[in-house]
Amino acid sequence: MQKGKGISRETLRGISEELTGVKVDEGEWEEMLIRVGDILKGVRALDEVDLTEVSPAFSYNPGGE
Amino acid sequence: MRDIDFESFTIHGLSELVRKREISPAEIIRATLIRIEQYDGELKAFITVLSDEALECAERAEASIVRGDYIGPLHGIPIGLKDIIYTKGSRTTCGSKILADFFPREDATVVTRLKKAGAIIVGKLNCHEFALGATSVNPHYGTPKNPWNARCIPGGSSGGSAVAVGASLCLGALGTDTGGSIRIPSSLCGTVGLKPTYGRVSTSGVYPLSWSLDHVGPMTKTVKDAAILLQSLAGHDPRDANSSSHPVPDYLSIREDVRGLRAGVPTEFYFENCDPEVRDRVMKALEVLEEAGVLIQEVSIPHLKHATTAGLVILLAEAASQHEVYLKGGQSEDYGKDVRGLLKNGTFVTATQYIKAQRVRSVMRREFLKAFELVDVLITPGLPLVAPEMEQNSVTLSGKRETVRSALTRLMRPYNLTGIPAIVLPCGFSKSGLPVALQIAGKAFEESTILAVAQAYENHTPWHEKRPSIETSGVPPSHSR
Repeated sequence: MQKGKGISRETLRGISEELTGVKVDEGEWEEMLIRVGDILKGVRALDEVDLTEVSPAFSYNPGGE
Repeated sequence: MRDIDFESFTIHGLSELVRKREISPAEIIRATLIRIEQYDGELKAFITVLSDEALECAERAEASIVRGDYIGPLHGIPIGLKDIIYTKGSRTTCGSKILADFFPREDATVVTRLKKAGAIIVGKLNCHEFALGATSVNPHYGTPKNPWNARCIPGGSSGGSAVAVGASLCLGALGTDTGGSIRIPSSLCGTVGLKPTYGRVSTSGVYPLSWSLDHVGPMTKTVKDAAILLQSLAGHDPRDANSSSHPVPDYLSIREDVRGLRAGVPTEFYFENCDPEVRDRVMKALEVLEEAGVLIQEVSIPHLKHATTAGLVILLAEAASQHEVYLKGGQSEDYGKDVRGLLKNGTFVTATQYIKAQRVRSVMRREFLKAFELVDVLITPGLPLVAPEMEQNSVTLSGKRETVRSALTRLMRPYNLTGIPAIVLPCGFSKSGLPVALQIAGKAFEESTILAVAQAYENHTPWHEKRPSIETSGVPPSHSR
C-alpha cells in the first residue's frame, strides 16, 4: 500500500483471496463488492434488534421443547 | 392401451382406482412416460427419466396388488424427485456440471420411505444448480418452463418438480426448501407445496445447501395429496442428526370442521410491496375462510423485516462451507455464474455476522411463539407477485424496484428461519392468467392444522381443478435415461 493513497482495489482483492482461500476474477470482483455491500447494509440494520441476553439458535428446535 | 386422462388425476383419485384394480400400475407408468415424452422436450422438467426402472417397479407393484398385497395410497403412483435427492445407482446431478456423473451408493431416506409406501420413481427433476437460486434458470440442463406461460419462470429452486406436477408429468414430487424452494415454484405454477417443520422429514441423502435451514417436502396438485406424501415421509431418522422424534400423527384424517380455528394475519411486512392483484386474491381467500368459520384477526411480529438478511447470511455462510471443496479445488469455473458469485459471497460472511444472524433467528422464533399464543395459523400471500418472465432481473411492486430474487424469497424466509411448517396453494389467477398463491403457516409439528385450513379453502374454491393448456412445439426430450 502506498502512503497516502489508501488501499488499491487490486490489493483488496488479493487480501480477500488470502483470507477466504477462494480466487475471485477481476470481472467478478465488481459484482461481488456490490453484493457484499448489500449484505453489509442488511447486517447493519440487524443492530435495530435488541440482542441483549439473546443466544444464537445453534441448538435448533422449532418446537421449543 | 387405454387412454388415461392424466391431467384430471390426483394421487388420491388414482389410488382409489389402483386399489379397486380398475387400473394397473403398469398402465399408469406407461401413460406417464408417454406424457413425459410428449411434453418434456418443451417443458424441461426432467434431467433424467428412469423409464426402465419405473416400468420394472410397476410390474412388481402390479403383481403384488394382484396377490392382494395393496400397500396404500402411493402404491403404483408415479413420483418425481428433485435431482439433489440421492437415488442409489441413478444419476443425481444436483442440476450441476460438477456432479454431472454422480451416481449415489445409497437412496436418500425419503426415497427409501417412498419406495416402501409403493411409490414408483419416474425420474429426477430439474432445479436451480445445487438448489442455490429462486428461478430454476439452469445453464447446464436448460431452464424448466412455467406450464401456465412458457415465457415465464417456474420459480425455484425446485422448479422442475412444480412444472412436472403442474403439467401432470407425474402425480407428485419431492422438493427441498431452504429459502422458499418448495413454496416459490409451487406458488408460481399453481400447485400445492408443503414445507414441513424442521426435522419432521429426514434430509439424509439430500445434497445440503444450508444445514440449519434445509427442509424436504411434498409438491402436489391438491392438499389431500400433500398429506398422503407427508404421511409416507415423516418420522425420525437416525441417519439425520437434526431429525425429530416428535410423534407422527395421522395426516390423512384431515379435520373437516375448521370452525373456531384462529387465523392471524400479520400487520407488518407480508402485504407491503405486494402486487394489488395478489393482495386482492388473498383478501378474498380470507373471506372464504371466514365464511367457513375460521376466526381472522391481525397479529404483530415486529422484526419480520430482518428475516431476509438473517436468512441470507446463514444460508450463504453454510452453503460456502459445503462448497469450499469445489471452490478451492479448481472447479470454481464449473458453476454457473450466479451460483458461483453467491457461493464466493458466502466466503465473505464473517463469524460475528453469522452469529448475529443466528441470534436474530432466536428473536424471530420467540416472536412467532408469542403470535401462536393468540392464533392457530398465520395466513399471508405465498409470493408478492405472479411469475416474472425469463429474462426479467427486477420487478417494481407498489412503486418499489427490487431484484426478482428478493421479491421471490422475502415472504418465504421467516418460515425457514423459524422452522415452522408452511403450505402454499392456489387462490386464483391474475388477469394475465398466472396463478396466485395463499400461504398458511402453523405451530411447529402442527402440519395437521395447516392441512385442515388449506383443505377447507380448497373445498370452497375451484382453483386446484384448473389445468394449464401446455404449448408444445414437438421438441423431443433431451434428458438421459
